[in-house]
Amino acid sequence: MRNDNAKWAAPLEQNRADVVGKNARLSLQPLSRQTMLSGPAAQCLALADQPSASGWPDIARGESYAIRLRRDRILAVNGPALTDGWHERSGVAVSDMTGGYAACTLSGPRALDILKTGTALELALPSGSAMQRFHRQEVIIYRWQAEDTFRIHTQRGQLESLWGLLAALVVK
Amino acid sequence: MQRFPCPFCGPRDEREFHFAGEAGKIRPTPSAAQSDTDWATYLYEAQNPRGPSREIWVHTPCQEYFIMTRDTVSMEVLGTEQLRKETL
Amino acid sequence: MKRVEGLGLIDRRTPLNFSFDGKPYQGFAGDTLASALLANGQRIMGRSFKYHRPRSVWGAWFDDPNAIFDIELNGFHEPNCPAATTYLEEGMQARAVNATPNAHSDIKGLLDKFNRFMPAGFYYKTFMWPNWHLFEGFIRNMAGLGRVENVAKSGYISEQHHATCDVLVIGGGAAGLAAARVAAESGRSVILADDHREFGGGLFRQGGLVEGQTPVDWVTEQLSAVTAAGGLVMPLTTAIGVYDHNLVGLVEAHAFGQAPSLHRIRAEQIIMATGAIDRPVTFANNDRPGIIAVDGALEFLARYGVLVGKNIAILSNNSLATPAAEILRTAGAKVRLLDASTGPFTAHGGKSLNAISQGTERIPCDTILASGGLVPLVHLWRHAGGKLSWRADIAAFVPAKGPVGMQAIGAANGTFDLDVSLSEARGENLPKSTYTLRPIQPDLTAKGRQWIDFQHDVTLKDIELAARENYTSVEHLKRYTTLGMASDQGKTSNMAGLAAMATLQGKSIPETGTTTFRPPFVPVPFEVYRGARRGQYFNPLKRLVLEPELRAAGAAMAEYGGSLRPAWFGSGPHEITREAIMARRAAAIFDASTLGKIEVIGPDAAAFLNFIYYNTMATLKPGFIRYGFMLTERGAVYDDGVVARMGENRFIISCSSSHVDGVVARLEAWRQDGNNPDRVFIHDTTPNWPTVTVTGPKAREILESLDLQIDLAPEAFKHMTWREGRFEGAVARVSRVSFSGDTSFEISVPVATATALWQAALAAGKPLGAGPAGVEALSILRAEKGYLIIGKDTDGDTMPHDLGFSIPRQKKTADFVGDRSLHTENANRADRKQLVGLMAPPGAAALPTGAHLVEVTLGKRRSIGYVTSSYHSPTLGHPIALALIEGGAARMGEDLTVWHMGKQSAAQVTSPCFYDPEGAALHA
Ligand SMILES: [Zn+2]
Repeated sequence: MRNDNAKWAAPLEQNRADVVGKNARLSLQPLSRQTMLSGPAAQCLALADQPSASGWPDIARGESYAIRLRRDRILAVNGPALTDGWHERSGVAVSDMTGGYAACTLSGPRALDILKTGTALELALPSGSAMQRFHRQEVIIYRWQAEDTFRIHTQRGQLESLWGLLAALVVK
Repeated sequence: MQRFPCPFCGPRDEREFHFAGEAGKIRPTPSAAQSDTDWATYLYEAQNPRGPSREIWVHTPCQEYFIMTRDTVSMEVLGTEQLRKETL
Repeated sequence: MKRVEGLGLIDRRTPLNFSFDGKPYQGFAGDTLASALLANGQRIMGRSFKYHRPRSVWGAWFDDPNAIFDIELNGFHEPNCPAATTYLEEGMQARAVNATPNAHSDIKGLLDKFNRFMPAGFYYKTFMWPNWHLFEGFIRNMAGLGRVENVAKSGYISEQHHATCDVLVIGGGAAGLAAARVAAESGRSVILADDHREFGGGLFRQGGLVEGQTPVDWVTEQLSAVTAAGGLVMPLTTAIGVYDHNLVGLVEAHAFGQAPSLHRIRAEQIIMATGAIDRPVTFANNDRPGIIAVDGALEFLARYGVLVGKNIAILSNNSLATPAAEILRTAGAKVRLLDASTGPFTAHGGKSLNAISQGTERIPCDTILASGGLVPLVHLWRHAGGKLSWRADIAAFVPAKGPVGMQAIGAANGTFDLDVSLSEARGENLPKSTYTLRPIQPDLTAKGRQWIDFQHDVTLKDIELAARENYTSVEHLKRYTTLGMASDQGKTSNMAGLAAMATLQGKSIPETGTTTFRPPFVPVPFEVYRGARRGQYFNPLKRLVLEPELRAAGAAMAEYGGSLRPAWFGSGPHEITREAIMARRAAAIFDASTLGKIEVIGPDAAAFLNFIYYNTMATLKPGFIRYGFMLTERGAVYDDGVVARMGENRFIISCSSSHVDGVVARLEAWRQDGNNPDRVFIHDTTPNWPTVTVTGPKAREILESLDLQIDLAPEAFKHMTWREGRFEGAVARVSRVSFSGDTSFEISVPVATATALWQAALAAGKPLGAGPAGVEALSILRAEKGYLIIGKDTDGDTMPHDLGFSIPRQKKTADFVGDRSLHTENANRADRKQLVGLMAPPGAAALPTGAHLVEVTLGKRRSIGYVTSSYHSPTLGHPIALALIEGGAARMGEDLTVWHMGKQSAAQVTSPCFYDPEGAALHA
């Protein structure tokens, strides 16, 4: 039986400092609400009170927006607090994922190049879904407010490895 | 590495996809009424064609299951179809 | 050997100091190690692999198989660097590999004297008896190339980049430059890669003007045009492989000591302009230092200003010999032309060359330049699955039917004239080719050793022997003789080897065939393939929300099924017993966050789960929880877990921690393939709901002080039910399920509340003698109760009735996954392995996990099963074990023989449940 405390670095503080490198910055992105909605796309949007959901390489705008994860699934960010479970009238399944995903923001002129070290992402190659693999890790990647600002969500348990990979690339 | 077209996401690298079975293999029902031989055929027999092959694949990031026809010799992707059954 | 004034691309104002085998030398910026050594008159650069023959360079770039160095610079050491492709840097200390003490005087050179005792297959034949391993150490010590260090190089990290483009041009010679320019100026996105520092390929060595300009001016103009049109040029970048659907792997070299970068470029169109290299001529002593490829010598002169000899004999079979002789004469050498198609020739001399002879004629020379014709570099074409065809007029394989989106131009396509090449690259009409060649084949009757593979010391005799022993397929020939298996992967030796085999069998070269071309085209460090995914990033574990709290409480974290979880709390593994006793006497507090929380939502959810599960789930009522198995279609148990019904259209599956991703994937597959996906949805909310489990006789007392706003009385909140409460204002889902056998509550709360809950539970437990416990203690508790772990106490063949759960198999009428497989001949066998308990005799130690139970018939031992879990039970004070045993359920009370690592012991079959079989503690 092993004690692997030394092998796996202890998680960083939740209020960690930004990592700043040449032409790139990485910061933790607190979000007040994340909701997973599955069902017919139009019904999901209506229930989440969003006009549209961003895929790749769309630029999500504003504090409250929706991201397209699957043909029949969106993630509403900072949207209304909906009841978990089946919404009979819309035919939509809802689950709170506020704590389930953690997010960070990668910005700057080098940001896209940094992402391209771990994924075959191209601005010229649109995708319906914002789901990607970054160094084999499952992530949601989309642009927010600006051409070179990327928000990246991952299952909370994988935040530390995503952060570590990105931080090393940012300071390089 | 091959590039496959997810019907929802568009072209993505092969490593994002999983093979999920040959297309057209339907689970026989009721299962209790199946002979040993028919059940074994369902479980274990595959066509493994040389050349064009209709297969079910899943794009793991977006979990879209779809039918892809591809050539197992030239590796050419010949087309995709929706798997989703029409609502009865 | 000397530098020729005014020639070369080197920077003569920047001298660089370096050493080779301990001796100091000076070269210039722009030199390779090979060119710098030649300029210093140092010809011997290494020893061959098998016979330790002295060797110099054959080629001036990646086609050199001979000069391989260990290099140190500023404390950084890199083994096996090809001297011809390693650019010189100030302070480099180079050493020839495979040579002791140095390349010039190698003590193993004596091996060469015994060469007739070491033919092809020598190692296979000689060192088999009595055991290869007796010889292995000695042979490996003799055979190794560079010295590999056991420590990882810190900071040596290869960056990987993904990119796409319309046109990727591989090779920046005349054809590649022209094609890149045309493509870029037509508005397509272009990437042009070349492995040298300078673009230009073979232009410099060919001499003369290019379309009225000097090569340097012409190259500069093309590059400016490509970049002006938006193209990207990548020097020092080698395409190492072409993979499916036009993915090209390119390795970009950086300064010495810095890991190369890997570029994965997906191109609509790949233009292969990789050029051609000289095929060696097979003649006696053709491996002697000073026998160099014609093109190699011209490269040394044109790029580095090094004239490789004063008195040169050119042994060639093609029309490029005459212009080569002219260039060398202009540079100051005396040159004699010999027709390689007339043979046989013999080289004379040892470490230095003094003559070449043909019959009785002896021609004094200090250098022999050889060419058996140009060989197009078609490796990438073959990686991509392109076909080759044989062109008899140039005696070479050229690209034929191509892979989709790939095109070959220039010398790589067998087009060796500059003007023809340029026209081909630009898609214009082709002028007439002037390249001619007289075919050559090895002379089997010639005296002396004729080398085929320089690095691996394969001679014509070895190929004869292989043919005699019927290794005539080229793939067999390669493996038997090791021809083409050296670090150059047969770039130079392949054609000579094929020609030899063809001659031996009286066949043509195309009839003989080629071996398979495999990536990488040049050797690359493993680091290139590894990239950022290293150490804790190779396969990152899932991390718990509570990890900081757990560490603060003294947890020893370890990997369990893809997550980093506490093994125990305190100073060492002995704490596990303490934790188990605490759990039984007071209570234990676990972080159970990794247990699945997979929501199944929608009007078809109940029917869907009824189909997914072995157990009937359709009848489960809201507020209740049911234990169940998921089977594979083959009937094997895939996962066990509990299902809680939240409401009419909503269930939560709590599967095993390590199966969450797998269960989600299976559910999604069944949902989309065979169900109406608008009526049932799968949401994996596991990371959204951290879970704290409190178990033990004092569990209820602890929960009472948490103020969860739930009636916790045993009759109000029964085992296998759940309640929704509140904790500090947030939702708290509390389930009464148990994996320990005692009263247990699993409390799941939102992430933001988890830390407060954990702290409150610990604070409430402390005065009652309760505290945190790890996964190891829980493993003991569950084994005492006979609760199984799928994959540990089951194998890939275990069915539910092997575990004592046979009612759905007999009674469930609705279809479910795996149903039909539970009624096959195999499923009905009486000797199926079934889960039982085992008790060792009083005083005996715990049985080893994995030990076999054996049956002895007529003196023969046969395994009838094995121990799956085994612990010393602190609760019961004796060892307990679980085992899978043939017909186990019918063997209660039977005494069995345990066999482990040659030792025999005894055990008695019992029920798997050792603790509280009546369930009083569980339901309390
Ligand atoms: Zn997709």
